[in-house]
Amino acid sequence: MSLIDPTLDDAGVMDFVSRGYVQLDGAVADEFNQVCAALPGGGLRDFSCTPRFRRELLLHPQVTGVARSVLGEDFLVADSAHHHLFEEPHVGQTWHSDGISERGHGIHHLQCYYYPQDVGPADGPTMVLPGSHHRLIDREAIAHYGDILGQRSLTVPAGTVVLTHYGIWHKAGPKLSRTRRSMIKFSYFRTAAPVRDWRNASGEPPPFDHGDEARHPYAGEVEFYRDMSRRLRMWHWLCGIDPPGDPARGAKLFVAASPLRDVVAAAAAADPAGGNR
Amino acid sequence: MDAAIAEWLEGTRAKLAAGNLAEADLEGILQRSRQQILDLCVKPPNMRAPISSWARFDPSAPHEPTLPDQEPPYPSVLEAMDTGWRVAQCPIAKLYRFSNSDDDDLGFELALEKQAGEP
Repeated sequence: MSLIDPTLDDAGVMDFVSRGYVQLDGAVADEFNQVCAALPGGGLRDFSCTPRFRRELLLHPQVTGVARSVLGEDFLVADSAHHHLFEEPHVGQTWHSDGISERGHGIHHLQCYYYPQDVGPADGPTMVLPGSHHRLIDREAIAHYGDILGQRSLTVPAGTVVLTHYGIWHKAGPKLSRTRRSMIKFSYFRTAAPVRDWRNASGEPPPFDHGDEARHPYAGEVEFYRDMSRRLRMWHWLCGIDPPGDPARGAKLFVAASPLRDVVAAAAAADPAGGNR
Repeated sequence: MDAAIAEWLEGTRAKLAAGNLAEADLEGILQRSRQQILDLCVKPPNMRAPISSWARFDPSAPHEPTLPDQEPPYPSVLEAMDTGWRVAQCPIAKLYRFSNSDDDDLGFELALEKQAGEP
């Protein structure tokens, strides 16, 4: 029996693969939000190990349901958290990813942002760049970028949790107000080999659906193709598929095609008297 | 730069003639010599191409927070040039890392410059 029920289905997992984050608006209870919003800034190691923090946040069914969906069973729950607290106006951070870019195309680490109070546009909302988790970068090399087409400011209601791929580009946005802005960061880590065992997953994995926002606004033409390629690799990895060697795989990313023998058989069935004309 | 000095001289003479020249006006030419940078990323390295990222660095502007913009200041590099920005650095495609499978930084990058006070 699974300890946690996954909450994402195929479409939800594909959306995470494309965007690199899931946003759960107002998931956490108001009473606990008020406790957390009053915490001092900095490390929360002791508080993060309390039964209440674990019950109200780390083991929240909606939050762990997403983690279970993309990290598999028996994932690790961090024994620490960090309270990123801003009170005074500031110009904002520069774009970065945390740590170093993760090679490969698996999902091993979810980094989560929890906002115990409302965050408005002038309160220094976290900004993320959807799809940027597929870009392997030197975090210092993106610090000079200003605004980026398609960037999202996480203006959220109190109690919102955003679960992100660890590699996503993000920053604390400019803060014009003197409103206290709390954000508590914590993580989950994969321990199990990837299996397609999320919600309602049965039968053969469906083909990856790039969705209505397949092309990120900042992506150039060749970048768009690379994005699609990386999504497919991540999807296959999550489904536990080791893609077989396929000489046509490059073109088949973008053009639907059928095996020759199937096309010949279909033609013969449609016109049995036609022979080999 | 010569045009900027001539413009400053013209304005200063006019104020002198009108009797309202202030000491701050004499600093104007120094203000005009400060460089501003506009950093633009474009999708393909073509000056008519759409812009994907933009950042302006102006040492004479106060270092204060402003809300982010969701749209670029110009549709293309050419239209930025049309307002007085000069291209200081162009992308050289051969110097960009190439991978058929992985994206990294944003597109191709140009640096544009003009002097503070220039339109």
